[in-house]
Amino acid sequence: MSEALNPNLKVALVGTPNAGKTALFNVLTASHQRVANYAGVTVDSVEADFKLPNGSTATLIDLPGAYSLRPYTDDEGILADALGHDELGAMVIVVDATQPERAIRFLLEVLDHTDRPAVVAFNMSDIAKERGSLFDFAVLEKELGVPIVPTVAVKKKGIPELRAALERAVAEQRRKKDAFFGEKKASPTRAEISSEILSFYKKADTILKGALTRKGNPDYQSEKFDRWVLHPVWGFLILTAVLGVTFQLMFNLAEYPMHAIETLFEWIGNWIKHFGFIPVGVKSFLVDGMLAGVGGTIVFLPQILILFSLILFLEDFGFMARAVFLLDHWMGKVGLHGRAFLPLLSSYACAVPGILSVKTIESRRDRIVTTMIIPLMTCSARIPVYTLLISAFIPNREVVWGIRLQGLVMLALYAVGTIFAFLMGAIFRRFLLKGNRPPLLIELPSYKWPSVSSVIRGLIYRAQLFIRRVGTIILGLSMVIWFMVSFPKAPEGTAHPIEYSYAASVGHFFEPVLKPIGFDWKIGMALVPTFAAREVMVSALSTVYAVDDSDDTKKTEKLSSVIKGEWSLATGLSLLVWVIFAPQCISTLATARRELQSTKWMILMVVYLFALAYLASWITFRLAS
Amino acid sequence: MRMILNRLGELRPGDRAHIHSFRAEEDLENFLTRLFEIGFIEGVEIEVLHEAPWSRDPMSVRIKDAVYVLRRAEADLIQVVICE
Repeated sequence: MSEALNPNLKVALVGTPNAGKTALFNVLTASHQRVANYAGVTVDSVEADFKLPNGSTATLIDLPGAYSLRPYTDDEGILADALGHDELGAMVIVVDATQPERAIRFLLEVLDHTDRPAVVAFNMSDIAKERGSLFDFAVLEKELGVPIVPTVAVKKKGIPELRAALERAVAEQRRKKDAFFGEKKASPTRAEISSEILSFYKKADTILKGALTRKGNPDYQSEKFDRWVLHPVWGFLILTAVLGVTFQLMFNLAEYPMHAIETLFEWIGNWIKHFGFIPVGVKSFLVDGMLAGVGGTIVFLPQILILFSLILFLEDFGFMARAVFLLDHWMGKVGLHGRAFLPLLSSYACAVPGILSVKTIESRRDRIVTTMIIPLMTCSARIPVYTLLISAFIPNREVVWGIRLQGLVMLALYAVGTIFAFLMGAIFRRFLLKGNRPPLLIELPSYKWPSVSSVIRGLIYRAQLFIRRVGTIILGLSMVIWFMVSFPKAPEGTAHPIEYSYAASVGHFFEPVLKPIGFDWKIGMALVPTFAAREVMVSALSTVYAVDDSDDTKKTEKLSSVIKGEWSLATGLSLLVWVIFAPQCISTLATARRELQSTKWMILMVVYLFALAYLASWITFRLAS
Repeated sequence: MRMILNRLGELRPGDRAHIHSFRAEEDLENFLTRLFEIGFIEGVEIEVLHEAPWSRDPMSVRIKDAVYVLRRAEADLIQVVICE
């Protein structure tokens, strides 16, 4: 029957949250995953090719996990649509064997929704067995009318059987769909919805009466663990320790790969410069335009990957849901939803993945508030700018017990950003996004060791997002900026050719506005390229002050001493404060606009961040001078 | 056996009860539907496991074999009969 299989057979992977869907996706697909925009929806889904036992290739599409097809979050919203899509050839439905009632109810709902061929992965069947549950799969298959394969995705058990079952199901083409409960109404009333849900549960109960030969215990192990993790004192200590270790690793561990990346880009730059036949202008475009911009951003990849590997680990382990439990009340004090914790934490690495993870929050109002304050979280792109300015303007004297002032200032900058994020959240909730706090409803999943491959796959996905941003927005803007600082050409023999450029004109244009906060036209000129990305500021300043880049390791030190001579202390501090608040990353704005589907909120984001930056810098400049 | 009708939000860790009914609230319809879908159904046994430190809010409850977190304000929509 291999002819019957379309080589591009599309198989949807559907499942309830915490059922091990991602782990199953990873063991089924050996080849590289792609980030795909499925069926025109804005939610990115991941897909990858895999082989059926007969050798034909199919594409597995990983759809967001959902408790039901009736959408409650945006993420779940795409599921029902995607399952109705014409291109879809079959489904693999993953359910959690430790939650039999919920699993069967979900299966009934999905199988009732569409007549696509389907197989069921009855996942975590080993844990269900350990807790004492025994299933009669023959009865289950007969009742549901689909093949059911007990699997343990993290241990790669039951996978060949699942593949074989899928191949058979596809070969038989259309599944005989028992309409369990007759035709659906287009817009049912609440009473009708309730009775439908109830009838699914009743049916599930009847099925389980025959199929669940022995009922297991609930997860007492996780409950014991929770007595510590959710403890009034220990709970918060554990949370603080986890966050502390996370940040330590993010900064200390990332140092070496970051240095390696810098060295690599330098080497490539020198290698290009080495070729005599390339005209000087083209060399400058390649090295100063493209390479500097891309290298300056890609250098943050290690930090982002380290933070996300820890976040993914903690999420898979089951800790993130507990953190939400511990923090929901306190985040509620400033009008935030407990679920905002994860997006805000991610934003310490980079605001873009932070904003992308906002969509797990149910209400639009909470999504807007969280997205609006994310740019205030100290992302890693601010670090080189902070480092430069601190080294130039903050004396490194010891304050107490070996704690140095420079380190304290760095910490204070993080704290100020975070405090203002929460403050602005409260203000937004108070004045612009009024209304009751939407309900909180999350599951505390069983604790389990995350599978390494699943964490790695998650990292690859995030790295892809990041690299795509570098390859498009950052690369494009770096070229525009290079053009602006390079043209028009200055007359021969000028000491500072950049003063004749378009960038200089822009700097002069903005000077009257920037003067009250202590910035001259040169800083204004350096601020122009930082709209692409903050991290560009360091290289922009070195271009503006014509710091010789023959010896790159000393470049930052040289720049530091140059600006120390050129600027007053007040100007330096004012710029430092500016960097905390100013909206200086186009990709963040673009992502916010896309995720919120609103230009209005994006504009408001730009306006309020500029207003905040200007005000704070003005106050700083006044106080310091 | 005595029958005492309580709101779920009034229960403390260790308490067990059976779900009796739901108080309908117009702007929380979707939320109630979702509760229904994940197994908060009349007659089902529910056990309060933990409450968040200090604030005692939110609380975690076990229903069937799963553990969910909800705030007391919303838990108050669920009327329960305490098992004694």
